[in-house]
This record gives sequence, C-alpha cells and structure tokens, in this order.
Amino acid sequence: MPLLCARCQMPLPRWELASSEGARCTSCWSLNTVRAFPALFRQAAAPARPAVALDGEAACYDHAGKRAVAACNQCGRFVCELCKVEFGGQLWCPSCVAAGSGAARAAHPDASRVLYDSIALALPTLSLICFWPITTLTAPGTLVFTPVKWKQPLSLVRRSRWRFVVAMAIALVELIAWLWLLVYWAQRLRSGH
Amino acid sequence: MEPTSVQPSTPYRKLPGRLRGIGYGSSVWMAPDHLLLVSSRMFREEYKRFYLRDIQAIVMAQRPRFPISTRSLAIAFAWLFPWVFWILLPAGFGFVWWAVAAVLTGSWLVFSFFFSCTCRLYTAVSNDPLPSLYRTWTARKFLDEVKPWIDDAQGSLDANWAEAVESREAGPAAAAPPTAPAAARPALRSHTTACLVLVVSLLAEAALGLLTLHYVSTASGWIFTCLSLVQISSAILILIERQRRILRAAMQRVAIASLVVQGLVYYVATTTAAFAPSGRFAGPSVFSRVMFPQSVLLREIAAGIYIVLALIGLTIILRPAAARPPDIIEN
Repeated sequence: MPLLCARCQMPLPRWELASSEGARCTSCWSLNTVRAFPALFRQAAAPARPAVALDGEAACYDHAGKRAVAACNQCGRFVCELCKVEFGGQLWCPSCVAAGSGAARAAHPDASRVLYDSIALALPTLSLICFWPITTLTAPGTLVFTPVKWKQPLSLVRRSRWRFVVAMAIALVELIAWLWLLVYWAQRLRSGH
Repeated sequence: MEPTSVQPSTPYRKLPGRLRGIGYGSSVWMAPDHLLLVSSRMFREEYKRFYLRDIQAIVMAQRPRFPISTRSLAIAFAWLFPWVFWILLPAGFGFVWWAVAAVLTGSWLVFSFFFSCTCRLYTAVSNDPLPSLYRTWTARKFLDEVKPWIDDAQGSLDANWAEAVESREAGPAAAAPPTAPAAARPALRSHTTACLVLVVSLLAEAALGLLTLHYVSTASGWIFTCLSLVQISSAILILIERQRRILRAAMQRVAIASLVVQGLVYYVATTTAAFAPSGRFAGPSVFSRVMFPQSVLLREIAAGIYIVLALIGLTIILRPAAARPPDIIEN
C-alpha cells in the first residue's frame, strides 16, 4: 500500500504522487502535498530471536526457557538476546532501564512535564477573573507555591521563569489591596461610619 | 514527585506554526537530530520525539478547519470592548461596530474554508497529526524549513520515487503488536464526590435562581453566595483530580464551563449595575442590585446554563462505563 491521505487516511494513488502539483486523494478529494524521505523505503531490521536454553545452560531471568547471553551490569540478572539493552557501553536488563536507576535516569527523555510556572500564574489571575473574593486565599497561596516550585524543571522548550515573577507580582498587589481594604474598613469602624 | 535534576539541555528552535486554544496548545520544535512535538493540556506538557533519520514522510492535506485560537478570542474581545462604553459612544458607531464584526467573521470563514489544512508525520511505527499546522501557508513554511534537515540526515530521494512507493506503506504496519500493555495503567474514574457536589450545587443554584427571580431577600442572597463558593471549590477540586490522573476528562470540561459562566455572570451583573442610574436598584438588602431588570434576564440565562451543565454532568455520572469512549488524552 502507498502513502496515505493526511485527511481521510486512504491510500494516495501512484500517478497522483508523481504529479508535481500535489496528490489528489481519490476518496475525499483533498489536495495532498507530500514530502517523502528515504526512510520510507528502508526495511525494518528483523528482531533478534533468543536461543532456547538447553539443560544445564543459564537461562534469562525474565524468560526461563531462553538462553542467557549476558549479565546486567547494574543488578547482575541474566538476560537473553531479546532482553539485553546496550546502554553507555554496558549491557543492562530492561528492569534497570525502566527503573531509571543510576545513569539511565539522565538518559531517559522526558515524556511530559507539569508547568508549575503556568499554575503559579493562573492562581492569582484566574481567581481574580472568576471570583475575586477567593484571591484572599490564592494570593498568599501563590506566594508560598512560587518559591517551593521555583527550582522544578520547566517546559523542555522554554527556559524563562518570567511567569513565576509575574505571578508573585500579581499576588503581592492583590495582597496589598486586601491589606489596604482591611485597614480602610477598620478605620471606618473605629470612626463610627 | 518529578526529579529536580534537569537532563542535559537540548537546544530547541521553534518551527513555524502554533496552535493555542483555551487550555490546550501544540507546537513543533527542532533539535539537532529530532523534531519535538509539544502538546499542552492545561498545566501539563507532553512530548513526542521524531528522529530525523526515522521520518518517512510528511503529508499536508487541504481541508476546512475552524480552530478557535486564543488570538481570535483576543480579537473578539477587543471588538467587544467598546460595548462597555456603549452609552458614551456616538450614534453612528453601531454601524461601524457591526461592519468590523462582519469583516472579521468573513475573513475568519474564508481562511478556515480555503486556506486550512491538516498535516501528518509518518514513521515506521507511528502516524501522528501535527495540530500546530492548520493553515496552508504555515504548513508550507514548515515543510520548506524541515526538509533540508531531514535530507541532511537521510539523503534525498530519486525523482521517480513515486514509482517505488506502491510496495511500501508509510506509517505503522497494520498487524504491528501494541508497544505497551494498555492494562498497565489504572482505570480513570468517571466521577468523584467533587463531581456530585458540583452537579448538585449547579442544580440548586439554578432552582433557587428561578424561584427567586422577582424577589431577593438577604437570606437567599447569602445562599447564592454560599452555593457559588461550593461550586468554585468543587470545580477547582475536579481540576486538581484531573491533573492527578484520577478523573476522566469529561467532568473537567463541565468544571471549566461552570467557572467561566460564574465569572461571566458575576462581572456582567456588576458592570450592568455600575452603568445603571443610581437608585434604580436601591432596595432593602445588599443583594437588591440583582433585581435590576437586566439582571433578572441575566439570572434567567444563567439558570438555564446551570441546568444544561448539571444535566451534562449527570449524564457523565450516570452513563454506564462500557458506553464511554476511551480517554484520548490518557490513552
């Protein structure tokens, strides 16, 4: 089967792919602009097949019937051809890599991150927009939350911590406004109005 | 708890195209050896890496799309802003105001119908949409920028590559086994106590609002305030539960909608009261301003919206588990 239409996921015909004006899908009639690369024609490597362990031979920790080919450099468990993971010039077992122990943690790429700076900014601003009286809680909350989460890693692609700074500034302004209101009310009460 | 140590930093460069909506977003970034697809939902970013050596094809298909971005919302808000000062504006302003609205809506419709597209990136094991590329000019700019980098990593194809493509399928093979066991993740709950509290408070506020449309006492005013506080607290709790992966996404949307409606109703009521002639809503209680005629209409609308939201919430809570679609964000 050929390349698929980006809209309806139906195959794009060969004669359309050869056209210089783009490939028209014969199913949904969308005009597709295709950029293909040599990886499209690369055959995937066949997976390694672990050998069966004979009587007296060491077996894999996770696959009792498969012959062990190495021991994990981290925990010492025996691993078969399928389980061995080459990592930093050493052989590791899948459990050690998954657990992120030792150096594996540094190599493990982040799949997601919590944006603490956005949470800090949303606390005083959204509460002000939605229902301002709860800023009595969110403003001091932001002032505590921001220093606590200051050193947490932010987004992978943006490095600046300006949201934290703006959040602190807004929270401070809200807090000052509340203090001023309290003083004002107290003075009015004292003067008998 | 996330690790505080940051992994060795990769220099990322922003590529053309960005989707920014309320509570969600998407963008693609370039690293020396891979493309990074960043998808954000509320306060969490999810990353997917496509190594340049593995990318089989990028396909862009023209199709109508109608995304409501934060930019278009900002423009709509800027258009709406003069309404606050309607009384102070000259008589002929109304025509200009509506003409601007017609031009803005017309241009948005033209762009959405004729200059929009969907983009997908194919590798041997994945077939992913690139949501940040939804306008044709941005997608073309993206393709022009990315292609030389992928060519550098893989080399370039022959001119007659299309002849050979018939025998290969881009994207994951149909019979490929799943890469991760789906059962390993704990099942998300459809509702919690906070959801029940939100639905009940929505219904109670709607009922009280309709029962006290033409007479508001101090007691009912305080009950309104308490119900609003309960509603806001339960909505925030739902957002936290969703963030902690306890709850499915559906109730979160109801919570966000209820917060937005609460805010809008509050500020519209305050603005309407502020522009009303003094003394028109002077009454026996501090809540008399809600008796102002426009406020009665506003309360009717708000009660209607609360009933709709409560019914949606009830449907989510009462719907049997088997009938629910899988959570796309989670799975």
